[in-house]
Amino acid sequence: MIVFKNYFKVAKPFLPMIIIYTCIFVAVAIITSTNGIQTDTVYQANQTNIAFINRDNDTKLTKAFLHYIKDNAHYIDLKDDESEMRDALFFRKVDYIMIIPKNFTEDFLNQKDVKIETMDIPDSYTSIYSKTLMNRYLNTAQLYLKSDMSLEDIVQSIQKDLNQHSSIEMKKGNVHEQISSASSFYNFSNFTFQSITIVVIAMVMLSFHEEKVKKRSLVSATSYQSFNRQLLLANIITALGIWLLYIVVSLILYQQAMLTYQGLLLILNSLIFMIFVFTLSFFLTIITNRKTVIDGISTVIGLGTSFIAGAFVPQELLSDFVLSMAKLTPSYWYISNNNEIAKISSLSWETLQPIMINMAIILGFALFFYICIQITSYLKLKKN
Amino acid sequence: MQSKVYSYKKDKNDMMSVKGERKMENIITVKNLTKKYGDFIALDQFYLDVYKGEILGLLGPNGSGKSTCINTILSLLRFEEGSVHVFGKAMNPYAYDIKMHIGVVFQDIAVFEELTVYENIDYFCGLYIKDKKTRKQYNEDAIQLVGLEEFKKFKPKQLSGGLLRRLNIACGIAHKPSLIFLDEPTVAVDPQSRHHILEGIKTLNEQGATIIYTTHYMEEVELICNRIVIMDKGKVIAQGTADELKNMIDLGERVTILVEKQEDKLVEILQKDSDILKVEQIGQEVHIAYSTHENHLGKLVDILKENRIHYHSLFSERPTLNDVFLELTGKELRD
Repeated sequence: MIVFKNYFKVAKPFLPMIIIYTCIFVAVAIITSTNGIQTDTVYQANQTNIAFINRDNDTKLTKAFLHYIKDNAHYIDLKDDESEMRDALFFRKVDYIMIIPKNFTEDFLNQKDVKIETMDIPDSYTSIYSKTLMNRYLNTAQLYLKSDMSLEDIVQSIQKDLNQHSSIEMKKGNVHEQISSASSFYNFSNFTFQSITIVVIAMVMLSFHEEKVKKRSLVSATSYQSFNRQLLLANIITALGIWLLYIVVSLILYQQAMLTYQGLLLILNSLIFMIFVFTLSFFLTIITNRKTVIDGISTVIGLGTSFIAGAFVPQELLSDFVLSMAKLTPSYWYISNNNEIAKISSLSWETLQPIMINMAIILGFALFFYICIQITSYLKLKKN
Repeated sequence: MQSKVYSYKKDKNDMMSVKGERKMENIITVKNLTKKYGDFIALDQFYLDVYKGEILGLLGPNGSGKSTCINTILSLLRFEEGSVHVFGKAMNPYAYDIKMHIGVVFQDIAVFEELTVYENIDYFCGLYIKDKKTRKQYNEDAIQLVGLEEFKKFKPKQLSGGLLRRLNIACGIAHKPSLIFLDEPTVAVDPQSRHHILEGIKTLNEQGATIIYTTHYMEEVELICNRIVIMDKGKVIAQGTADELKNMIDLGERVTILVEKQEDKLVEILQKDSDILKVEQIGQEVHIAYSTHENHLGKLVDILKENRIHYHSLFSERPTLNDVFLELTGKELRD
């Protein structure tokens, strides 16, 4: 096993570079995949900034209404001046301004159609939320008013009703969210798997395939078959090592998700993709012996497929033309599969079938390159 | 030119009898080997016999087919016609039992840039020797042989050209082969390394290895080789010991006289001597080519005295392998 052992000796000087490459790629992958994840563990209702301008008298109803606003929102004290109110909205000092008209309490008690004038920031969720808050108070008040209750009772009943809150407990580590993040992580691995594996395998193989060194191996007592078998084994271990590194990182980052059947499918999918990357890397080292060519090809394949197949940009945002081009690459099927796996809600043949088909397509690409390796090797041997 | 090649063929038969007398064991037998690159014939009905324990020099100008000959014998190249037998067995790319006993030092440096001197030797030795303990001893022996003890932990890029050549040799011979091919191992090497390499080759031979040494440096061949094969255009044009080769040509001795002025009289006198093949004066030098091998200096001094011809000096030279090549092919070895 001298060739096998020597493979790792030759690879040793490249180790620092491999580690740096891996760290950068993994860091970028983590940042990309964790971006947008909900990390809050305690629920807190959102509070908007509301100004309350009272043009009515200080009645029990308006006082109770103001008290309700102060309890459920950030109360902002504003003067009843239109320009000041507009400035406050423009500078986002307030999200919503309620202007209680004159005779509001009287008209309300007489069941007249009362209208509260409002000013808000157009199309903002804060104004919609504030409006909901206001309507909830008024609708509750109207309900009690219809039951012929006194103003004092109405106010008390409203306060009692609206003070009742549901307790909300956030579940720690939402598995579905983790699956989604893990899926993004594996999508990004399309780039890293290809770039690292092609460069690492190619760099070491180029040393062994260097014409003069190879010539020396060919005249030796070690058979050509044994020589190639040992190199193949070393390459497989290298590729598996890179793959395992990613699996371990994903297990650390998305522990709960990765131990579900979806997580296991993501791992299986990445292993199948790695088989393809391995055959591609091996093929490239057979067709060229130039490091610069290998570097160029790995960059083009890694970045190119990542852009067109949806590793960096979700497939939903890519045009049909780009996606139809991407379908010619295994990266598309790998990333589609990751997305598909993340969507599974239950394990059944119906849900698994499209995933298995995608995996078979990726294996088909691997088989294609394996055949290319055999043909190229045969032609090279025949040429000599 | 044709007639000279023909006359050599007669001599070749004589040499065959010389070989027969030696009754040595054949290590390599090459018969009627023809190798073509497209229309170019690199080896043309090439034949070669290598005997056990000898250092055979394969001499020829660049492009004469020396490296092609070695690569073909080693089954690195396919050939169109002929046969190659090594250790009495037909050579082929899968003859690993034969390859086990062969060491090759190629013209180009073939080592791993990423490994140290020791690791390189250990790896290439490991392609033959599986046992770690034996290999360790062999590695040390090889390092000692080429004088790289102080550079074991050096990477190839830290070595000078001469030291790299020595490493290249160590990688090829560490497994103690009984048949070694050395393809121009001293090209572009400093005198110290050249000396080391040549001494190392002699030591390997003394230890029992049969060596095939290709070069276009005739001095090296004369220094270390027991027998020489001269090649040109993919053919063997002469073979034998250095003396046998030199005796094969018409030239026996070359004498040069340094005179003071144009000496037409001397040239005229010498041209009458039947032993002299050619005489000519170039500047102040009179060049005389004798066909016989005896010493002509005394006779020449007498002629110079008798004719009162003043001279500064005169000296005699034996024919070189270059003279052999020149006479057989009409061109210099280093053309």
